[in-house]
Amino acid sequence: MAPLIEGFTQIFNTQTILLVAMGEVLGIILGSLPGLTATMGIALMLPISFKLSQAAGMALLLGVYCGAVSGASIPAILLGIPGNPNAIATVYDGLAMTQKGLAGQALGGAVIASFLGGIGSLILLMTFSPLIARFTLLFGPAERACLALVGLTIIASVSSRNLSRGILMGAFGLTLSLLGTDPFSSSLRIPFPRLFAKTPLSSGINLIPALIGLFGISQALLDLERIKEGMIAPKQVKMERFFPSLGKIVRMWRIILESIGIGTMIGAIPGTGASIAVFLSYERAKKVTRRSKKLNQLGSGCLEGVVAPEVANNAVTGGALIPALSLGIPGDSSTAVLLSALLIKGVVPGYQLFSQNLYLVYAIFFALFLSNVFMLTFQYFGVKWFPRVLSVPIAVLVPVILVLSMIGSYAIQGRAILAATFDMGVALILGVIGYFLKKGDYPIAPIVLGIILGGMFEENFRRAVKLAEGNYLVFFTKPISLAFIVLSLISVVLPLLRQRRRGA
Amino acid sequence: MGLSIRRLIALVFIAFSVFYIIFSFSIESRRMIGDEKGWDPGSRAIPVGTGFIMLASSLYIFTKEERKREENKEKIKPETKRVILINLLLSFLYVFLFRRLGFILCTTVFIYTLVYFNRIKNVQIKLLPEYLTGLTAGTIFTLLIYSLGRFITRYLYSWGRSTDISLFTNSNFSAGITFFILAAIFLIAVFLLKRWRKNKNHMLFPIFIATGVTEIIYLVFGQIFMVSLAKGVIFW
Repeated sequence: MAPLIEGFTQIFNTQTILLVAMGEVLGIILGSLPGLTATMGIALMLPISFKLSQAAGMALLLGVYCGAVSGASIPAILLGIPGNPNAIATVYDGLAMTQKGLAGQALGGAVIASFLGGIGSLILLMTFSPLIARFTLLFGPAERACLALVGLTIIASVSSRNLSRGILMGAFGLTLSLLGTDPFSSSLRIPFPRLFAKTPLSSGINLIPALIGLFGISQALLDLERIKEGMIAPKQVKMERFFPSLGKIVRMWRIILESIGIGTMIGAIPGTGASIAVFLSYERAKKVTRRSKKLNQLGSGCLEGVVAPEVANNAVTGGALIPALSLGIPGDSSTAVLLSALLIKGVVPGYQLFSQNLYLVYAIFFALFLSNVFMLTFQYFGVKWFPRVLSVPIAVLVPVILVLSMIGSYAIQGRAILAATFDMGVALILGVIGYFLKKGDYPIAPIVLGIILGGMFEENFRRAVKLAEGNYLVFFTKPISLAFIVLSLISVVLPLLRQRRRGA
Repeated sequence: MGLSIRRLIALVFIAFSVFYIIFSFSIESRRMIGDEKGWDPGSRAIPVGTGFIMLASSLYIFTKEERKREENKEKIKPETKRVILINLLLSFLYVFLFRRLGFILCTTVFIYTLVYFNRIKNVQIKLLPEYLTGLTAGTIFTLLIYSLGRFITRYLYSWGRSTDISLFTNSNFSAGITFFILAAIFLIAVFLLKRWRKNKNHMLFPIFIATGVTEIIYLVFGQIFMVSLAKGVIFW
């Protein structure tokens, strides 16, 4: 009991509460600005956290982390630009709701979903932390490679009415991810290596510029086509109701619970990230709504399509902390920085943390809870103001989006000006490609997933085959990887059958 | 009958896939370090596989799938095409000149030009003097606000150091103070200029937008998040 009380008092004091609030505001700003990531925010706050106590420092960093994850939904819903990869799936129904004049409700729904996702995963973190951590240990290279395959096939099948277009875009994303240097032998894999060996292309294509270009710049160019209409979206007609009714939330119980489970589980698997979780939860929600008469069909601009990925991406925050705290393995890049903050303070995660610094574990739980409460509070007030960005005429908004997109891409490299300028160019070129692909009704999300999962797939695929002494059947001999292969086959075959039935 | 954009894209991807497959086979297939037995599939395996998947799916889209439905999409009007082209052209120029001219100059010119031309229905040559006057005024206004901001920040730093008040040396605090002072000056300038030149809203509006956006981005990205925005010719 004493560690619990100690953890509580470490967090619930004026200084720490203010620090969490500050971190939360900073995180929301970071998340809503393209190119500024949660990892960057946490890294920037590290020097401040060193001067604080262990618990207060972690609380500040967790505030930034939660804020950034939830803030990414704001530009995704209002402008179709995901602030970071966590919000890719939110774009579909979020932007469609904005175009229907329901931006306020979409944002309100996203806030509630983020809160529920965060709290839900926190409960799972507190209850099942050791158990889930043990389960994630079963994931070797073969399982991870197959998980990446599931992510790729599911996104290819759900993001387009046409599977072949989804597969083509996923493969295109993979080709982009494979550019640069081979992860195992460091040999160059770029065209015309003599020409480009000393350029930033040798390091490959960064995810954030690709994301900003494909979603942000392409959307800005599409918006320009409606420049005569004046505004991006119709004037807000339902400004008085921002949050969905309790009844509606209750009706979505299954989507919420499943998304919490998916987010926490995926977050707990090191190196996977929220992007797989959001698409898996979106796909699950699609199936749930198809069977239900009370819920709306996803893809048409409905709240269910915003709630599912937003619950999942916030659930990842708790999930990613499971291996970080119990095994010392970070779930994603943000938790890697959080982990380094603990290590610098002399705290060793894993068994030692639970046996010697149990109060700190409880403090982290309380800090995560407080971060979620602040996220709800700040977003609650912000939701009334964020949609006002839509009243800015397209003629003004598009140049501002273009500059923000390019500077966002530039910001990733921080201080390396040449590489940063290269990233701006990548964003712009991919923006133009994305514009034409959208015009041809090709889905964009599989490209981004291809870029995200390409590296993970290749590394684990090769490692698995090598560990199996060159045996390619290794993926079929392990139960988890076999289950994933079956799942990806189902995700490809089912839409094909459905298309056939529709055709007949 | 011309190709639909969807089939045209599939055709481009066929060409790209062929190029990519040739490129993949040209990669030296190296195995991971410590793999003496040659169990690693090598660095060429995944690129080659991906190339063939891309080729197969793009061929399928081009030959079979898309003949079924050729959609008649609304055509873009020539003036809208011109607007998109101007925006694109300036974006490429922005990237190209960013390191040479620097963030402040590039961003001001970019935003001013686009906001100015995006709002005009008929772009005519006679608007050039007004555009150039506005551009010069906008650039000067931004430079004044930026220089003032730099002065305030430096003053706060040196004051903080001499008085040992660490708050003034904090970049977030100095950015916040600078923001409030500049916002006040900016609003006063907007108020005065609007009263002074009531009929020149065409020109004044893009100036204010360009200056405001440039300075806010500079404060957030450059000062708070320490992004090294290229200085270019504005060396101070």
